[in-house]
Amino acid sequence: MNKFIVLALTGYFGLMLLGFAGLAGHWHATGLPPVQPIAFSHQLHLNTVGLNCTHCHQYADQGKQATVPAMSICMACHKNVKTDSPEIQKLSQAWEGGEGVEWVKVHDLPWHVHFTHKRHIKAGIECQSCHGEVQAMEQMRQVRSLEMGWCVSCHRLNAAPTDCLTCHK
Amino acid sequence: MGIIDQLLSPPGAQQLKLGLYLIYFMLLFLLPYMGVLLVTVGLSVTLRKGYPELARSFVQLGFLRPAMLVIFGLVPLLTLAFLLAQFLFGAGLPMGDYMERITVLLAGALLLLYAYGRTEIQAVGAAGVALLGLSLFCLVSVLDLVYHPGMWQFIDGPLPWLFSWTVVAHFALYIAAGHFLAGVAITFLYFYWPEKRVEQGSAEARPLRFWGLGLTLGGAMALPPLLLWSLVLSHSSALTFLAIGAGMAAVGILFMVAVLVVGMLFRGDSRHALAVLVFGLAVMALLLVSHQQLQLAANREHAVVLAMEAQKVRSAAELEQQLLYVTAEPDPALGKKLFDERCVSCHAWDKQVVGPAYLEVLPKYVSDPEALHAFIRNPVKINPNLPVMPNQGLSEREVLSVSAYLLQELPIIQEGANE
Repeated sequence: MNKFIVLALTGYFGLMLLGFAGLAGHWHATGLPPVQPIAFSHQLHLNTVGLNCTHCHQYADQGKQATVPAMSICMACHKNVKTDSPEIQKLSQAWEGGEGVEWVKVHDLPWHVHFTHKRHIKAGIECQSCHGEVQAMEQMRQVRSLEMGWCVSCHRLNAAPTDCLTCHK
Repeated sequence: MGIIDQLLSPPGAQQLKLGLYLIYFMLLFLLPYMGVLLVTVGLSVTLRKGYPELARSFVQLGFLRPAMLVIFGLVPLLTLAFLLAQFLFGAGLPMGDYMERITVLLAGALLLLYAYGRTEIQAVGAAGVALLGLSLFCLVSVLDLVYHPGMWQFIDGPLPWLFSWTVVAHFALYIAAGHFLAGVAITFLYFYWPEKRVEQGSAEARPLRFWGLGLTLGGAMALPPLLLWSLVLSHSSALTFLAIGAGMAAVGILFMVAVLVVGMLFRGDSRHALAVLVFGLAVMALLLVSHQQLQLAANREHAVVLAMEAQKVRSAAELEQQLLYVTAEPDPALGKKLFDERCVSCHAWDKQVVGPAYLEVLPKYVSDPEALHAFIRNPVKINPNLPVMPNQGLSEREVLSVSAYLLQELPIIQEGANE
């Protein structure tokens, strides 16, 4: 058999394998959910306990930012609930020591985007439309691209304004 | 139409998990068979005019026997129709309806193909292949709805098809796998299987070897980039190392198949026909593992949501059933059950836990039970130092029952506290 053909086949399939390896590397670098300092589960709090989003993210329907809940909100229940869990102890130690918990931000928009949570919630957009099925997530992660094309396609569907100044002030 | 949807009932979380595996099991029968059928009959129709003998040998592989058409075609398809409709219950999709339409299309296609096998009329075969291709595209579209919950709302019109790059990539991958498997089947059946085996040096052996090995090689070359494309298009949250790893293993085995096939083409023999079959089946198994990983990961969260939707439907049905026999009268026994299940995790009678002590907050409702009902239906923040009570989502009868129980217990506990 022609050596050249075997070489060509090896090259072709080798290239394909490199493509797979590249995909694995890229996915590992960008696609995994971030590790948080405390193993907080949205699934448990929303699905099992039955809290609403705004129970903790109090300003989601009132302002620009949904805001990470103040520690006092966590401690209101966790002064008494599950105090023997090591993860809760991390929380109560930080609370007693007057320190914050350094949560890793999952959804981050660039500075040149003017986005308000309040407006979207007032328009009847479900939290899940942009944040995914949070009530089923053990570890919070970004499931939508949050890129401009994605925003604009939804704005078009809902007949929301699409001129530049709507989002770029 | 709509027959399947009427037969379904809301599934539980465990059934949803089992449903995915059953869907996979049925696809294992249906998809390879349909792919091979599409490619072999397609070739036979194309070569009918110029090479009638060759065209006949592609039809006589045995895939057009009525028993095969029913066992590998219609039975898995109908089972899939129920499984898919059951799995996506609560997604707000007329899945049973889509699958009924696909079943009709596919049954028509199989009938035409069978007629072509008997009559060898080219136009009948061409119509059958076209209809089979169309129904398989619809089937891939509908299966993609299971992989991609984000596309749930987008099917519109009489044919349940969907044009997005993901569907196109999956369909192309599927057609390539069909070519690969058809080549493997032709090589194996005509050069290894004793019943059908042709003589190595005979006149019919040459074109059969050429087509069998050619299809295998073409499929083996086309599968890796298409598989990579479909993985790139999957959402990052659906990818896993196993999905990518199984793809890489498939590429490795495809390389071995390609080397064996090129060797056979150059030498003009078919000594590795069995090895190619074994490797070909291994590739299919790896492709399935890879896609099963994607599907499980894509549905990990949606299974929870679907189970919640199903639960809502089930509770509404149960409530309706109850209302046939009872009015919304309070039932203190039900109240006690709810109290033990829900209330005591945050409330105690005599001290503040997460919520306030009942002995402090309940007395103000004794003269106004309606205010207590209203609070339980829709809790609002009263004491600024305590977290607001979560809405428990109780039915009207449950609200009345739990308040009746609380107000009935209050004087008993108060008496005990005063003593």
